[in-house]
Amino acid sequence: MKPTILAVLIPVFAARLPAQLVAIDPGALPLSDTSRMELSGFLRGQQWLEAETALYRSVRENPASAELRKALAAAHFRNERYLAAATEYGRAARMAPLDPGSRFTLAAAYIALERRHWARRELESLAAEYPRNPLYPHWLAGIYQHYQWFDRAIVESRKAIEINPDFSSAHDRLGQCLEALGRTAEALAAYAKAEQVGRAAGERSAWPSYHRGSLLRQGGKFEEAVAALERAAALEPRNAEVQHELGLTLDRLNRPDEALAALRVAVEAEPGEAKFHYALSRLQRRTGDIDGARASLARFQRLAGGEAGR
Amino acid sequence: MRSRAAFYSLALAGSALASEVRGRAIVDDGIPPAEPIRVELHCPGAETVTGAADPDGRFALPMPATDGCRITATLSGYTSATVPVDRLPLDPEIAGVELRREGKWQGYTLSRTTLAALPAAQVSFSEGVRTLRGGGQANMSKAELLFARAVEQDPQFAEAWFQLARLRLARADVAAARVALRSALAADSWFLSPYRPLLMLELGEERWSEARELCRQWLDSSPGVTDALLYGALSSLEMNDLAAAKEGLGAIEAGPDGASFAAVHYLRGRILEREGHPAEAGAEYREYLSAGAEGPLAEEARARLAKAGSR
Repeated sequence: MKPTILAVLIPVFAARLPAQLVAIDPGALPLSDTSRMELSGFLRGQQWLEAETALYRSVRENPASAELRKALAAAHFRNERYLAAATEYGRAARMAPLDPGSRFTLAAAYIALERRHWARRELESLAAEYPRNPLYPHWLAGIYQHYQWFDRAIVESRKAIEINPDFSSAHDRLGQCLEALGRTAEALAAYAKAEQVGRAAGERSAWPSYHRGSLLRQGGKFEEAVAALERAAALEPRNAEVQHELGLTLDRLNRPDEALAALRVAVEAEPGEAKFHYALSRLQRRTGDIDGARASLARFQRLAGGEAGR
Repeated sequence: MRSRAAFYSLALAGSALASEVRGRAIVDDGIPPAEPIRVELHCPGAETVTGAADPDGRFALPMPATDGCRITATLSGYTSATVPVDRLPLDPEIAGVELRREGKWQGYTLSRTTLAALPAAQVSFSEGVRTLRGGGQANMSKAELLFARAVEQDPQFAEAWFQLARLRLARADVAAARVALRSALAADSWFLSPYRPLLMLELGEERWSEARELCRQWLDSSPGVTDALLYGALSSLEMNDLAAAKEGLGAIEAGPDGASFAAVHYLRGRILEREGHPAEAGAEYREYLSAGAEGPLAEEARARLAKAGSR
C-alpha cells in the first residue's frame, strides 16, 4: 500500500500565545503502512488525542527515532500538554539537533509553562542563527516585556519591524513597551502603525486599536479613544477587554446606554472575570438600576473572593 | 457547591474498568514527591470525589456521569493544576496533569535537562532523592553514590550533578563539589541553582578571576541578580580593576534593589577605601553594619573599621 502523504498544519490557540503552526507529516515518519494510515486518519479528522496516543505507541516501539519524538512533541503541544511536549523535544534533541520550527515550538511550550528563562535561551539562539526571521526578535521582545525589560524589548521589536515593516504585532508590542516607559506620543504612533499595517494585511486582531484606545482614554482624549475602541470592537465583537474599555470610555462621554450595552457584552463574553461585573454594577447603580447593580455586585464579590473586601 | 470529600478506593493495578477515568499527574522538576499527589474530580452539581495518585503519579477516579467535569491535582510546594476530563490523554502513561514547582524563576530554578534525562539516570536520581529523605549519615552516603551513578549514566543531567555537589559539600569535599557544580553548569548553563554555591566556593578560596567570570555567566543567564553584580564588582576590586568595580556599583545602584540593597554600602566603602578616602569608606561600612548585616562581608567591614580605628 502506498503510504499516505499528508502534511497537516495544526492551528494552536494556546492561552496567551499567538497562533502558531506545528506540522506533523506522517509521510516523513518511520511508521508501518498501517500505522501511517491510522495516524493520517486521526490528523485528517483532527482527532488530536487519538493522534497523540498513536504516536506515543509508535515512540515506545521505536524509541531511537528523533522524528517520531518530534511528532509526538507536536501532538502533545496541540493537546496543550506543554510539559510533555517540552520533555519530548528535549529527548529528540539528544538524538539529533532540532530543526528551527521544532525549536520555536519548544520555546512556545516553555512560555506556556511560564519558563521564559528557558524560552529565552532558545529564542536568543534562533535569533542569532536566523537573523532574517522577524518572529524570533518579536517573541524575544515578548519575554523581555514580561520581565519589564522594556528597553531591550524595544530593541528587539524594532529588529522585527526592520526585517518585516508590515509586522503588525511587532508594532503593537513596540507601542506597549514605549507606553510602559511613558513615551506616550511614540506609543500612539506605534499603535497607529500597527493598526494601519494590520488593516492592509486583512488581519482581524483587535489589540492594536484596543491599546491605542486605552492609552487615549488615559490621556483624556475620550472621543478619539471611542473611535479606536469601536474599530477594535468591529474586529473582535466578543472581545471582553475591548468591550469593557469601550464601556468605561463611553461612560466618560456621558453615553450611559451605549456604555451599559458594551459592559453587558463584556460580561456575557467572559462571565468569569470579576472586574467586568464590578464595572457593570457601578454603572447600573448610577443609572438607577439598583436591583441589577446588586446582582452584578454579588457576582463580582463571588468571583473576586477574598480580594473583594480589601 | 459544598464539597464533601469522599475518598475513592483506587484500582490502579490491572486493566482499567470502564467505570473509571484514569490519568497521570507529574511534577515539572522531576523530583519524586515526598507525599502522594492528591487528585479531585469536580463535576457540576455533584460531590467532589477525592483520591491519591500512586508513587508514579497514576490515578483512577470514577467515570463522571455529567459533562463539564475537571480533575485537579494538588501537592504542597507546587501550584495546583486542573484539567478538563475530556482533555485527559487516552493513554494514562501520557501525563495528563502537570504540577509546577512554586517560586520565582530567579530563586531555585529547574534545569531543562531534568525531564529529558535518560531513563536509567532518572531511576538512579529518584532512588537517590528517596534515600536522602530517609535521613541520617548512611543514607547521605548511599544517596551520593546514587547521584554519582545518575551522572555517570547521563552526564547531561544537571540536577543530578547539583544534588551530588550538595552532598559533597555536606562532607566538606570542596574540590569534588566544585567539579560537580561546574559539571552542572556545563550541562546546562541556564540552570541557575549551581551559581551561588559555586561562587561562594571560588570566593572562599580567593579565586577572583574564576569568581568574576562566574558572575559574568550568571548575569548573562539572569541579568539583574544583585548578588552577582556585587560579587563580580568585589572580585574586580581584588583584581585591581577599579573601573569594573565601579561599573558594578553603578549597575546595582541603577537596579531595582539599589535603594534597599544594604551591601551596596560595603562595596562603596571598599571602592572609596581603594580611592584613598578612608573616612568616607568608614561611614559606608558603618551604614552597612547599621542595617543589621551579618556574614563574611559584615565581618570584613568590622575588621576594616577596627583597622582604620587603630591607625
